[in-house]
Amino acid sequence: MFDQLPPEFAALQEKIQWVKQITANEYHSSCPVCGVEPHHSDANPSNRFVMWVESRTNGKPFGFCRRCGHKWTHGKQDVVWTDEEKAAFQSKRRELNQREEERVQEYARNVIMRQGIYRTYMQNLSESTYGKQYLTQRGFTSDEWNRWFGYGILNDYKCKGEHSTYYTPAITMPVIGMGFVVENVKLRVTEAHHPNDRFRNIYKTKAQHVHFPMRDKGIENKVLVVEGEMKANMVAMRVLNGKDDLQVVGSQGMGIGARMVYALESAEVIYLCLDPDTYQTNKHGKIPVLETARKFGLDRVRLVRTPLKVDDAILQGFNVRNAINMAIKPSQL
Amino acid sequence: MTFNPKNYAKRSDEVAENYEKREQWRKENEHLAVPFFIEGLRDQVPPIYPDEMAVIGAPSGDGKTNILKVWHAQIQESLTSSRRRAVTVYGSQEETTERLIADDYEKRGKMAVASAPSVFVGTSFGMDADSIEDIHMTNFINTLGFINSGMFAEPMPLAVVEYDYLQATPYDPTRKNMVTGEQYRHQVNDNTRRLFKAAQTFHTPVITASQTSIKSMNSAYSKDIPIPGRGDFSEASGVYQIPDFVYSFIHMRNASTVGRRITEGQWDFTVEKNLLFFWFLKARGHNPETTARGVGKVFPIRIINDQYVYDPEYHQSLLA
Repeated sequence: MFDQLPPEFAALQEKIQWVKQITANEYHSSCPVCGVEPHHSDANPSNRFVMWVESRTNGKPFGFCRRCGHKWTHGKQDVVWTDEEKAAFQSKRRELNQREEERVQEYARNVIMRQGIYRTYMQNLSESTYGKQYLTQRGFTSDEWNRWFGYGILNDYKCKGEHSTYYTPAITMPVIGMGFVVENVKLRVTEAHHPNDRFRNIYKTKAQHVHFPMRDKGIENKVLVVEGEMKANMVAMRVLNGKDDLQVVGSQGMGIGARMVYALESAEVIYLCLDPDTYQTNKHGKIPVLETARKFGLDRVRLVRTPLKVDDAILQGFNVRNAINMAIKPSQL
Repeated sequence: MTFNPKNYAKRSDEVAENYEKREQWRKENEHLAVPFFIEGLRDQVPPIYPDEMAVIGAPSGDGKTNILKVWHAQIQESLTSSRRRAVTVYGSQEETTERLIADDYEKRGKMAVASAPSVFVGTSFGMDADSIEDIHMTNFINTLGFINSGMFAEPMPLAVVEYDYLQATPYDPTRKNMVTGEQYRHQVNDNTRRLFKAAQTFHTPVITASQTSIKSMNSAYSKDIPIPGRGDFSEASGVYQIPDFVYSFIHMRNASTVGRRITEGQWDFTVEKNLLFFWFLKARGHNPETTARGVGKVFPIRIINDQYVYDPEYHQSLLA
């Protein structure tokens, strides 16, 4: 069993023999220092080295061996890197990232787009008064825009919820990657029994998707990052209206992963429009919006504050364009 | 900073060159000028360009603050629809920042107000007395500097600065203990001049309000239509002399009685509750024949649906 080593740990590529992805953020592997354990097998693997893509302590990649205690971070490691090694690391990181990108794209093209299940759901929506009403209530009142976003409905989604499994309608929408590649199909469970049941992905892609509501071919200079695909759609429709020098992308939740960071590497300015709760100190004593800003680089991030979640705020008359004009730097928070 | 006479003494050819540059700049930047708040008089009253200052004069209680608010709302709206990156600044010595937005909040709701392209400068709910005294003119101008260059991610152009009002400004610390009338006049003159300079420093139009005397009038328009004249601005002549534009107003219901018929000079009308008179007193650098055709004239204005309306036909109907 050998999963893809995340790009953040590319430097360990040659030093570990085995790796398994546990969650989007956590990987287990053999230790780069103490190696595989004598009893190593697929059934009983050497999983003592734990890697977090975003560690809880500082939001950066961190690895720790539960056997020998070896700690690994980018900045401080047991081995001193030469300039050549650093360059090789950068290049390897880029290569791994590219490989991961290709994997996601290949899966999208060969599986998700070929199956085209979202098209069936779109067809369902044209016959669903319930679905149209739901979208109207959420501010999606234009059939033309709804078709553009690819909204559909799954009438009897089996939701394996927080407390129980139940059937419920769910609004569907394709998650559009760069270049109009459908990378996943998102579900908005309309009758969720628990707040954690509201969103689901149909495909298990093991990737964080960057949603481009305007089907952009590449990354522009100014990018507005909105938390969630539906909110990104709302901003694209009601604020930018397809005619703006600003590009909007949707993240999956408030956590910004490596793929999003890499995707926006070339953007000059990144406007973060995250939910108001990301400005509150969390249980780890961190302010999530600042953690996110650090990942992109504080200098190029601008914070766009909204009193409510941006889609709700827009529906109540909030002018996002003005808020973007009045954005602040993270240091001004 | 060392004084350099070279910066101030210009040969005629340099001045001519600069004049052309200025005219060109004004032509290219018409969109930065603030149009007069009464739509029907925009062909009579020129817009206020960046670097220029206007004073609205009226007796106490005659609606200076309301004029500033209405004008401010117009500028906010135009800024929003233009999508231009700039903010309006509304400074008040009279109302807390919370009260300034109260009407707008009730009308348009929190989300619209919370995303207006504006910064409000003044005291806030719960502020202590010492802090309230701190927002004197020096600190107000420092605050403009902060808004311009330190409050947002990038330097923020100021689309307009409105300031309510000159005579309500707390003393600067250097004059705090000097309580003679002479010192107070100096302070008001000085505040007016510094606000005028702020218009140039921040390249913004500045609109402020000034009290006019209520005890006695030196140069009112007429006995029965007592629109304050150039000699009626309270405390200091600088309030009239320094700004580029001076507009004077009288709310007739306060100067007379609603329903009373007034026949005086060319006028013959009955006082209505919503009737004001506007006297366009001054427009520096403008030609009364071309760019400021309304200067020196008096216009009847009515408040209709919270807007100040000038109607030439109504004007005619008030003439004898």
